[in-house]
Amino acid sequence: MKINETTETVRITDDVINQLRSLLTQIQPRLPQTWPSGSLFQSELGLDSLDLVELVARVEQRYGMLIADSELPRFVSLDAMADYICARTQA
Amino acid sequence: MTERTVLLVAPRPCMQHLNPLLRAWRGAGLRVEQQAYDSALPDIAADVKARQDLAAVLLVGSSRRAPATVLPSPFVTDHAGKRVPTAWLPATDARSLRRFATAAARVHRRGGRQPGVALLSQWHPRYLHIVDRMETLLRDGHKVFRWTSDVILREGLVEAMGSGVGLGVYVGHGRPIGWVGYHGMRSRHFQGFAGEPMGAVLSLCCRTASRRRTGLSYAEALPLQGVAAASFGATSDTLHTDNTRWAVAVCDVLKEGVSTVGELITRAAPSSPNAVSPYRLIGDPLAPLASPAAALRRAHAVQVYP
Repeated sequence: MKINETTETVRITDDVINQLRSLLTQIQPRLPQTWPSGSLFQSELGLDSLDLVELVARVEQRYGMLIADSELPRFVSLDAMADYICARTQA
Repeated sequence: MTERTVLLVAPRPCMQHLNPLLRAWRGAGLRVEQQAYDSALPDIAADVKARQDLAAVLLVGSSRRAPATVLPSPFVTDHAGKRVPTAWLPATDARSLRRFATAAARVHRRGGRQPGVALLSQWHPRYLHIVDRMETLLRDGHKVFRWTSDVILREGLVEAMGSGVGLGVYVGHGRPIGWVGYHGMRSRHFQGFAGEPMGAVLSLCCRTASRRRTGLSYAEALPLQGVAAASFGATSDTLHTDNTRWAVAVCDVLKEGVSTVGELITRAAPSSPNAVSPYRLIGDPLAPLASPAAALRRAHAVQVYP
């Protein structure tokens, strides 16, 4: 049972990462087709604060959630953002 | 299809000055409900909440009342859960009311189906960056005019806004007396404005609808001076992140297709109440956003400095 739950959690997180990757590519088309989900937004992908705010706005629209501005600094990578979204949607 | 109803609430003596707009609304197929009052300002938000048949509301009242206190936000959610754009107009004097009503009626009557957007901003990398992004988002399907303060002077912008483009969006710093961009844009710079009115001007910045240390806020002055049929501004400080949310959502809604400023605001409003509550809609809540062909020609001819 626990193995099934873990597999399901990984699948959901992967889905969220793929959706985030798609949103981010729309916002910043110069990004490569794919990149490691642990890549840092600012130092490794060259995203700026406006890109990040737009990504947060689109996440709010897509997942119907409110994200406080104080949470923005924790969104350093796709992994970090996906973990946050999964935790919020499963809570 | 059910008839859309717009509710006009105004002091009895003011009603006659708004007749041009009433006729334009009726001409646009709207059912107009008038509610005249003699003394205290009615609690319109409560009325709207109890109903479910209104497309929009315009509340006119004494100019001694400030936008921050007459209405709770740019829209009120009705009994059915629908957002109803609810606008304010200060009754300063008969001449200003007539000027507003005439300009707003003109915007309704001039027709045009082409969406046209003027992007305005203070000369600062942060705001120019937002304009860059908005320009990219709107590139397909919209006529976009970039009149940011790095490419046009204040006098040029006054003339450019008189081209009659459907929508203008400003990002940058704002004050109750006007925009910080363009070396300070004030309502007095539009004195004697003889251009074609814009549909709506959105000021995605702090305090342009605030009355702090000013008789009439900048956001209120624009419709009363006939510069635009409607304007949208904040009554207090706003967050850059919230305004970015607004800017992105405004572009999204424009791309999806939208016909009036009230529809634009209600659909583009971010989900955070803190991002919405500072803002107020001033003037005609159903101001059309389409740009007539002549307006687009004039806008194309505006000289900018690359």
